[in-house]
Amino acid sequence: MTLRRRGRLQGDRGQVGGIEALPFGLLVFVVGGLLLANAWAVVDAKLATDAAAREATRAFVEAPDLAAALEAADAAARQSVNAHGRDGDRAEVAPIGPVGFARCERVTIEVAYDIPAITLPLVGGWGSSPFPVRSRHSEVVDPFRSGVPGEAGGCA
Amino acid sequence: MRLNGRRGSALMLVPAGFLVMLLLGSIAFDLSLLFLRQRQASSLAADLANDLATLALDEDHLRASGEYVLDPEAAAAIGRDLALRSDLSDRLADLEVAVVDEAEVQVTATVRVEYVFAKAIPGAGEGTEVTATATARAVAG
Repeated sequence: MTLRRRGRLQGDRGQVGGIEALPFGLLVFVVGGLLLANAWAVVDAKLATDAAAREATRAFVEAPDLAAALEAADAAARQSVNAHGRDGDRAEVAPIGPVGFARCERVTIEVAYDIPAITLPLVGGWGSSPFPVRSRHSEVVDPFRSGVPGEAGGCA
Repeated sequence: MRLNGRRGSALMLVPAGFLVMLLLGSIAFDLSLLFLRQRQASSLAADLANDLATLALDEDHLRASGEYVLDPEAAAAIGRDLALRSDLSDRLADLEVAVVDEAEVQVTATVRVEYVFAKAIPGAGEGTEVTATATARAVAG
């Protein structure tokens, strides 16, 4: 009786060992990639809304009167969102709380932008879609500028 | 003959490559978050300095002497109050307000940044802090 020595990798034995790593690896990559893309979209939108809220507040406190201030704030916020490569018309720009235009008056403006969120298997995603990204910014109307009603005393 | 060469052996490296890609993506995300907080800190410091340059005026001194001088204690108190009302109040680690000149104020804001994905990486930190400084001067005109 003769024994025939077989070389390594000559047969089909064990060829599927570890093959499950391929589909699972791909699955993890796709889910992880979508999660990262979603997270990045939120951070990117936050950068845009942050800048927009700041510009809106700045435009508000530098305006000559209340009507012009509200108009300037809205326009500045939308332009800022546009400048970040997003659709300014989709942004919601609104002052928070009672709005007045006088010396020492504090104004807070919120800019919100909806981000479509994907619900992912295994990790669940970021909650309900769309995911609202909000930024608020607050400033005080300069107590010593001219042409603004109100008194500078007791500003703090 | 099948399975005789090395053809296809790199296929098994693909899942590992996927994980490396995800790891790099998560690092990029956390660093962009760091950048976002840095910008927010910078924005906060600039706005506080801008507000304090007029809000922290020592009115008694102005009426007595006609000189525009900022009150360091008032600047620190008002700065803290304004910072607590800001978007970053829950992440603010430190706030320093210094009146560097009669009409000039410097604000340094330190903001905590908590990483999102790096927590899952052994040895990586939970987060870090970013600091931003801004100066404002009141100018008559």
